[in-house]
Amino acid sequence: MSTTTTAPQRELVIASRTAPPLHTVRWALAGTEGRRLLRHPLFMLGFAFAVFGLVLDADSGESIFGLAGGAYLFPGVGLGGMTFLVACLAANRERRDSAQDFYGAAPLSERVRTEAALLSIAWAGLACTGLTGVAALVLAGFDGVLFFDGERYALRPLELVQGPLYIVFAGTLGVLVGRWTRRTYAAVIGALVLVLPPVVWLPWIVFGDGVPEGFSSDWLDHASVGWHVIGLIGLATVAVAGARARHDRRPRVALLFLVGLGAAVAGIALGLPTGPDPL
Amino acid sequence: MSHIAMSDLRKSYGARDAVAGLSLTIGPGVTGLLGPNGAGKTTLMRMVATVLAPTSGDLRLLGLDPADREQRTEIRRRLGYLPQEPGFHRHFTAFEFVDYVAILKEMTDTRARHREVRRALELVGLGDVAGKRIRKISGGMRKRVALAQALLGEPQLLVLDEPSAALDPEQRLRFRELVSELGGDERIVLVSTHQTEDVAALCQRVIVMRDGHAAFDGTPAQLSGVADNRVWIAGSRDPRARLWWRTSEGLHRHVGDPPAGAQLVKPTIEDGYLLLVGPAAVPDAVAA
Repeated sequence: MSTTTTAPQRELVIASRTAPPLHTVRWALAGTEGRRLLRHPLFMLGFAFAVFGLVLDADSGESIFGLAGGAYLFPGVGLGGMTFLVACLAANRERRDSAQDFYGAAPLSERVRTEAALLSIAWAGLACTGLTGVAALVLAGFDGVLFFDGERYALRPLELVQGPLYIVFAGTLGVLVGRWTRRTYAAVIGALVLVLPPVVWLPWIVFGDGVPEGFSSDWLDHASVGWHVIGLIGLATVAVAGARARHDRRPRVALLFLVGLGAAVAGIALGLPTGPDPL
Repeated sequence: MSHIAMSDLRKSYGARDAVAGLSLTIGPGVTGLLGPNGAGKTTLMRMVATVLAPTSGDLRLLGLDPADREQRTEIRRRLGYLPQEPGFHRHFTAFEFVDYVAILKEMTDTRARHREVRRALELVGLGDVAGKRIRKISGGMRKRVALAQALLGEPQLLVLDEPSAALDPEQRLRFRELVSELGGDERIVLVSTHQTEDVAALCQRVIVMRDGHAAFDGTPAQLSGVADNRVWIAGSRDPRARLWWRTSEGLHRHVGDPPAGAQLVKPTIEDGYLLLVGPAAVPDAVAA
């Protein structure tokens, strides 16, 4: 076998040594996009709305509704819709601005740019995690136990995870729509669909069985939280695969889509609300 | 391998050839591309900037093949490109925009990247407006922001598509100074322009494009030489001239075959250019 290297190949090898690893560049871009997302006025508005709802409900003494109403039950109104909108606008920014030549002449490919856009949603997820954590601490204390009319309910970690997961799902869905269309109205319509009935009434957040009578109401859905979480992860994975498929047709993306779809179907089938708490 | 080499390069849109079998080698220094609208300049620039694939022919940039994905990425690492119509995100500040492009150019170390962004903005004279949103700055400043991003990382190949459009005379002077400094021993600078003055001031070599072909390839002096003994001044319009226009002194400057006894004047690059691409272009005037 010949090991001769042509001049261009030699130059390529030499220059490649100076290029930073791809994951470093991907995360650098994701960080920039993520910080832009958090600083976006619409996202901040959604965040403020979520905090406001939380404070209102907590102030009324309905602590579990505080968690659910402010951060969970209508996350679409509070944060989800805005996260979708901002992520969508960021993802189609280059086509909206007709800046394909700017971006196209850069070494970072569209595939990597899409991956960075998807990773940037982690910043919104972290912001929501922070909000949920603070809310849980304020309302339930370090032991995570809620008291209402002499009854107690210990929050489960999986219950707390659902809010941030929903935000991640909304954000990745935004990237998916933004990568496939340059139309601003698609972003606005998508956000409205998320925040308006009937979508907003879907049981995005559920609680496990055993919520005492005093806590429970028609507002709360009870289901297998574990399966519900798997369903949310599945939905987000489907959105990730759909966004990546715009510029990446490798089998691994199709596999990711199938895995996500399987998790979503299983999660929805097995994590559907079982109706009012039997207690 | 610091050059651009193209052989029988062609880019077609349907039945029309925007670039029709171009064969050129461009080395270090500043090379100007002149030509009327639709001559194929921007198409050629976009192919050299690796954002457009040729329909056929061979293109090598810095010794690398842009058709190969890995080599194309490598070219892009050494490329600075100012598109003809830069699309900005208007909510970005000048600094944020250039910084964003710097990340796309794989500059990951934040401190070093910010230093480089500031350097590029200073180079184009925008250091003091770095924090202003792009939507709030003038068209000329936006053009300079676009130029700043092209200069990031001191690229080996600089492709500037109509960089001096929208610049006022003072900015244009500064731009010429900057670009002439950039065209060093190793760097290839390819400038597309409508401004013949830019070519005269900047370029060691000029290529005039017409209908997707190179109608002229030579030095600026050779281009003005195309019109030697073919430019004359008269008090009134001479219908025998191929092209004419009225000067600010009220005289008529004519380009073409002068009549006997005409008052010949020293031709400019513009005269040579007009003879080449004007309505009655002179094919035998093409310099090799």
